[in-house]
Amino acid sequence: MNYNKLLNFFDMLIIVALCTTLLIAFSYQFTVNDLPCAMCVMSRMGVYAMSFGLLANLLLSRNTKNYLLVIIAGLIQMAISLEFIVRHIVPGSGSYGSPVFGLHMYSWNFIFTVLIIIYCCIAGLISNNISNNQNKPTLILKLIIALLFLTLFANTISTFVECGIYSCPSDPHSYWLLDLLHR
Amino acid sequence: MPLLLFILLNIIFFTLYNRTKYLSYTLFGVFLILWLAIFIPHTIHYIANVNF
Repeated sequence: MNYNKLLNFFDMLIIVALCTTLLIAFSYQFTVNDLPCAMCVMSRMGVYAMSFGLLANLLLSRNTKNYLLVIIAGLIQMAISLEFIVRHIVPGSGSYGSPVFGLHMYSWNFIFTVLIIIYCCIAGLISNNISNNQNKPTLILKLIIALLFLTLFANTISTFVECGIYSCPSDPHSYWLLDLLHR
Repeated sequence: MPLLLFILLNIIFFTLYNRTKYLSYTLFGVFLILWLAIFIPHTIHYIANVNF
């Protein structure tokens, strides 16, 4: 049985969900002034790393190996968010950032990453491999790619403004470029 | 360093959109290695500075 259309739909849905989490993080960054710390920036990279395999399935060729790439990126992402959770797990040790629906972003990050890894394991098992996808991207796929590129570009600019060419601070309170301009 | 990785991500997704298969996968592999190269020392530095 051919599950490719269903998997295409879920791959696109997951990319949209990942972009939505980034947009929520951006909204907190600019409204509540929750600047992303070094680990947060690494987590944001992880979102794109997981999107790569899913987008490769949609654009290049549907292959089980692309799901394995998502799983590898997801495992690194899980390690980052798990470290973040463990840093604040002792009662009274505080937390980083504002909670979203009761949990912090790093906790949500861990939960979503586990769910995506589970999906990729199942999808990899039922996927029918296609060697070369020559089909033109549909309008919906083009919109999703545009959304991904938009958030990626915004993240690049945000990282430059916050950290410059240096490592990001662990507990940022201001933007590097704005501080430089105000001197 | 994070800026470099974001620029690399931009290049990766640009090559992916243009369907240059081997370049996309190779650059993605480079990204994974660099991402780990930032994360692991960051974690070790944190563990080394924590008072148990």
